[in-house]
Amino acid sequence: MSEETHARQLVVFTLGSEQYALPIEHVHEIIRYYEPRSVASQIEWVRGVISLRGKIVPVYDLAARLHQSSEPSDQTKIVIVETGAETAGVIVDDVEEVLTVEDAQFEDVPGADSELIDGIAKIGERLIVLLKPSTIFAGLELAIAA
Amino acid sequence: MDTSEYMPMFLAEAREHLQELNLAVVQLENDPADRPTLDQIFRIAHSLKGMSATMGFTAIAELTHEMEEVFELLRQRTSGLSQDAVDTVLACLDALSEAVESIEAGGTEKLDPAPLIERLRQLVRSSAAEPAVTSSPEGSEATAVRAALDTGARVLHVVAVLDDEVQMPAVRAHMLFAALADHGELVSNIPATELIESFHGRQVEAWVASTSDENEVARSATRVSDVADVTVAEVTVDSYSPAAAPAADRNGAATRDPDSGDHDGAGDAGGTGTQAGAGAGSAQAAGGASAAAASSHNARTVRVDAERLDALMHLMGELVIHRTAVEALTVGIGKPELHHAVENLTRSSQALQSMVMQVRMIPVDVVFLRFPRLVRDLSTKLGKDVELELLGRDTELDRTVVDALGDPLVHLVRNSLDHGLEPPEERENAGKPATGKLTIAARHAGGSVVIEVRDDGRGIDPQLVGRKAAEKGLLDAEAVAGLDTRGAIELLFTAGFSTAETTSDISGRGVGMDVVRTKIRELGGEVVMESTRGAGTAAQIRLPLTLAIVSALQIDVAGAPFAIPIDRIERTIRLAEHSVSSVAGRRVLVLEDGVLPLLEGATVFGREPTGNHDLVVIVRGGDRRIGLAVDELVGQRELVTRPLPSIVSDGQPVSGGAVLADGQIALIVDCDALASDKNVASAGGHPDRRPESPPSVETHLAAA
Repeated sequence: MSEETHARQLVVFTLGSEQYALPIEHVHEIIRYYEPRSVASQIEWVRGVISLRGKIVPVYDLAARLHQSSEPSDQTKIVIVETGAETAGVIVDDVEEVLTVEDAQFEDVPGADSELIDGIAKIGERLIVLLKPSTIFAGLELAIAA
Repeated sequence: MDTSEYMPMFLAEAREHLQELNLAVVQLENDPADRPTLDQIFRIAHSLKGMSATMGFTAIAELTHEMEEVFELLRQRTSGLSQDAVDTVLACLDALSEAVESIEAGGTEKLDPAPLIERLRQLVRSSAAEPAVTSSPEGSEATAVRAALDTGARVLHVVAVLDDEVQMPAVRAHMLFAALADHGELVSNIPATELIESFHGRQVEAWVASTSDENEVARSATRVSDVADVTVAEVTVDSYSPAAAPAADRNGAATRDPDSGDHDGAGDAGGTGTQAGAGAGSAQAAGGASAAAASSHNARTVRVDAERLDALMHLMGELVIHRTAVEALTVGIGKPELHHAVENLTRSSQALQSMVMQVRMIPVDVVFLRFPRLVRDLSTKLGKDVELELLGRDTELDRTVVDALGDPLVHLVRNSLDHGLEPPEERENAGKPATGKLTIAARHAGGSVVIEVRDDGRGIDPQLVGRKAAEKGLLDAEAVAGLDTRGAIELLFTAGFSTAETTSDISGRGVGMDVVRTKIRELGGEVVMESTRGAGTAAQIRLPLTLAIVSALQIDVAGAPFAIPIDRIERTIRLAEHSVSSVAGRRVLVLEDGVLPLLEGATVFGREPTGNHDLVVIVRGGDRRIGLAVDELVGQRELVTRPLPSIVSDGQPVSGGAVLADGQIALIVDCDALASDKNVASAGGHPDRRPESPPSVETHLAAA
């Protein structure tokens, strides 16, 4: 724990052909995908709402947000992400594993244009994109305005 | 003793006491001869003093003690309170409220009792000249005891030793004297009554003229907390000599000679001589008796943390969801025992549900309590005569609703006093009684509660409102002339409009009627206003009885479930049996009793329209009715409402969601937003802009 570098535990999942990760402390749970109840939203990546033990939680299409394409399959999951007071589900193609990655292994995103992305880790042949949980919920005003 | 765990209870009770005191003082001002109210004031002030002293809030205790003195004075007179006295006492109550607030905010009482105590003493002093009040405080306990003995009374000498750990010896001394006063008149006591507050000793002495058995007196004294030891002995004329009295000084280190009270100021002592001390003793006896009654009442009621109630409600909601799921699953299973068991489950859970609801219900009086004081203060300040009438005070509604109702109601009341009710001359000129009437009434109406604030004031002047709106750029100058009352009321509810002069500290707090409406709508209610020039204005708040579970009609719109609260539904009709027309490009439904806008469910909720929409639900929202065309009426459901994430409810006329028995989510229709001008204008839009044209509807019209 208290070595010279900090290690982070990440939940790694796939979206299309790319691999993404979220810090494990923000992942509340992972559930099998089912079609959310659609709601008319002005934001195209809001897919609807699901009920999570009685609570109504919005579900976001992460692929659409990251300009990936993906189709629901048997492996599709909803990752329930918690940040502060908010809870939301994001749709992912499949959940790969939980990885422990040293901070040092992360690099800045080349041309870091996305406010969703915290950094990129190269592990062996794999490139893992670490997402910022806070921005999964943020930037809504931006999104609506766009 | 660590008192922190009692803090929430202290705060809650202190607030309650202060509110009751406010109410009682105003009531006493109206009817000075109201003895029970006076006794009640005395009792409340006394327990407020006791508990604040116990919690170590000495400034509060000190001030309440001084207030008690004033109340004591009142008890001895029938002439009632002077205006000055009422103002002073109310000022004290305000200071106490602030102190309580500061305790909650920062843990310390921000209160400087000295100026107020000085004002209170001034009152006592000025009235000391009146003949009804007490004799001069010449007597030490020695002469008092001798005097009592001379009348042939049996006097008991009680010596109580307090526990070394005692936190507030002053409070215990008080309690002890109160307990002893149950047995007879307190002839004298050490510490003397006016010195109790500064008492820090361990020994308390009293002389009681009583016929009670010594053991009995000892028992009641022992019952007082922190009393370690009690001795009771009868005082005989022989054994009692003036020399015996100063013996007390030996024991109580901090016990001062009663005569030293004179150094505090003659006026102070003037109100609390030996006779007054005896009076206070018997008053405490009365207080003690009602405290006993109150504590036996407390045994039947329990204070519960509001959060626990919310959690209970939440769990209840889960249970309702699971129950309906089980009910749905058992349909079609041919097992009579199972159905029987499910029926029992349903019955019990419904009983439980209604019980949980009841537990959360509190009378609206909790909100009403503040108004007598508020109205008194405002009407005095504004120079208006106002009679306040509170109706339906025991109407019960959900705690969350009651909590949220306070501010909007205060705003409505302020508005009535500030703008509605006229000064006496103006009223008389208009041929009305000089005293204006303000009525706040609560009543149940179906699944809702209706609270009305009505005044018989001048009513809303559309021109005045119009001009203000024009000044603020909310309205064209030309439009002002054509403004009617209804339009003016709509303007009042517009954000950025407030007729209150910004300088006024009555209703001009930067809060407008729009905030009231927003707040009430957040609660799932609505507020409407009506006004007649010269006759008055009435604002009506309609709220659901409870926010958590709604009775709703489940409908299907373009393949998705929605729910409309039952109490908002007037009826459902078939489109084919009625005529639909078009007015200015918008569809309207022509019924026998009116013409209403007709909205297409799919359009309203942003869905792809499907199939035919022969079914229409007539919904009440705001102050109008609208027709909502839907695909299917599914049935009535008890739904547990859940908040919707704002990102998905944004811009849609929905107020929440609910999980159905099959796990689907129904969105709960916000009828007020649905019927709002904005929504009717956009969703009811021009037929050519709509995704589907309604030719079939026009045919109906032709047929009709």
